[in-house]
Amino acid sequence: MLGQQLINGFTIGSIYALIALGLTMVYGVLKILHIAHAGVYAMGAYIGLWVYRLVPNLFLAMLAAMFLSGVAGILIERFLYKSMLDKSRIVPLIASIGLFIAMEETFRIIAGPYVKAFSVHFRQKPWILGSARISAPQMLVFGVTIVLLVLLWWVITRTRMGKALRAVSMDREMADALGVATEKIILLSFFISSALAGAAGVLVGVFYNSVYPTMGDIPAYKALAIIVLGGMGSIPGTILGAFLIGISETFLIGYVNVPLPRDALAFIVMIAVLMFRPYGLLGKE
Amino acid sequence: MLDVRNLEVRYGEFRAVHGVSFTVEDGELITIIGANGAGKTSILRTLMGFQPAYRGTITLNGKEITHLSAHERAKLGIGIAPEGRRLFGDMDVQENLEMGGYLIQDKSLLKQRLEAVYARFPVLKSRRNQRAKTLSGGEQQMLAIGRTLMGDPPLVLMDEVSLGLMPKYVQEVFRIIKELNEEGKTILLVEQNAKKALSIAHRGYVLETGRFRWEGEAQQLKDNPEVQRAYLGG
Ligand SMILES: Nc1ncnc2c1ncn2[C@@H]1O[C@H](COP(=O)(O)OP(=O)(O)OP(=O)(O)O)[C@@H](O)[C@H]1O
Ligand SMILES: [Mg+2]
Repeated sequence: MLGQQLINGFTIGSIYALIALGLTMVYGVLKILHIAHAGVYAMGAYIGLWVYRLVPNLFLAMLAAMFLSGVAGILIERFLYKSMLDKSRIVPLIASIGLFIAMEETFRIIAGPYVKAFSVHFRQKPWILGSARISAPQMLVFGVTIVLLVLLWWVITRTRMGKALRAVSMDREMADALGVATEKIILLSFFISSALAGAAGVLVGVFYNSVYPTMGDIPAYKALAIIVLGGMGSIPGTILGAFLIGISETFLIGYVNVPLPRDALAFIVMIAVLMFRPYGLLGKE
Repeated sequence: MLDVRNLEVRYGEFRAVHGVSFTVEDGELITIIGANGAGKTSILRTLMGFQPAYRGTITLNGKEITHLSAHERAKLGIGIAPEGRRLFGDMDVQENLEMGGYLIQDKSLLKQRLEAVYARFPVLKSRRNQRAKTLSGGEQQMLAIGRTLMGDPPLVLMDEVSLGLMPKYVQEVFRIIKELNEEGKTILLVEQNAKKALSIAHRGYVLETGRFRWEGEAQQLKDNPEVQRAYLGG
């Protein structure tokens, strides 16, 4: 039972991590809350489903969803946020909420208001580990998450562009003075963030066998709780926060029989952590 | 090398710099001294491209750069050791230096520069894998200067690089600035420590509420009784 809860918790945590990472990276470079990120995530799910129906190859669907979501991220930065950066921070926040709603309505108009099935037939048998089992979709979630996290880690710690990205999120002006074309680096961070969200969208679509216009609603605010919990802008903090929330949620449902909506838990954990660590798990002032 | 004409800097309606003009010739070490709030940092920030010039022109080696972004100016050979050091605190010492050499494409050249900086600041080498924010104040200042040197900019802007350091380090920092200048770097040094700055500079400008009150050879300024009274402690 404990093992199974942990496996389920890590599955949910993986998905939260992929979504929240993008939010934290965007916050890092632009210091804005990119609510429409959850719209990009839903868009990724729709693109994945659409490609999968054309060519039933999940790998291809995933790549297409990531690439097109990444491009959408670039367009959002370029045409929405860029002109608002010298305004009060409430301006891009409101624009972002507006875009999120508009995206959901667009999905509804194009694909209809109903839940679409994203059914993938897995031939892989579940792995049995003692009393726990890891299903094929869970393996998919873990596999994709591990690959993407390792890739992200490699990019930001080993490549010139990735180091520049970290430098921009620490001190944009100084990075600029050292010759970093910061606008390009910001576009890069939107591309990476949005591609991760697109991947998360496909994973969730497959895992729950459903894609629908408002699927971004809950992730939109939960990812906020996670990045606040992790320490705004901190990549390791966000990953830690995502797994903490994912695991807490599955344990809450599995063990504690309290009439508490599962989706409120993220905020309860967030508030509890902030009481002791006002800047989040790994955040700084 | 650098020619600044009628530079005016504003924050909203507030005029921080009222149309100053000055030049920095190749190989010179020039200092701008002045009290808190005189506008020294505003001038340097505008030269680097952090802050737009409200009026006036900035010319570097005959090319007007008034409206270029900071990274374009970096490419043209301006480097800055800014006020407050502005290190990348969560990166280690070596990564900070690598960022300083961001524009260098050639790996072996980058390595060579890194070794040169480590040779100049051995303490940085022994702390190469330590995060910048965990260094002592003096070490951080060495790193800030080292980071600027990585790009080997012909013109270096330095903003109160001795601020907040122990006397031992203050001595050391001024010695290094002088040494860099003797090796051929053109340096524009902004300082509140007028005595020390004038002792190493060729020429100086004294800034008071956004205007130059005096300018001239460093020795001349040091001998000027009014400057002495106001800035040199008698
Ligand atoms: N971002 C800003 N917004 C508004 N006013 C500013 C800003 N930066 C500086 N000022 C004002 O401009 C004036 C000049 O400031 P500046 O920082 O250039 O002075 P400084 O000579 O560098 O002083 P210090 O020796 O204290 O560093 C000051 O009156 C300051 O309050
Ligand atoms: Mg200053």
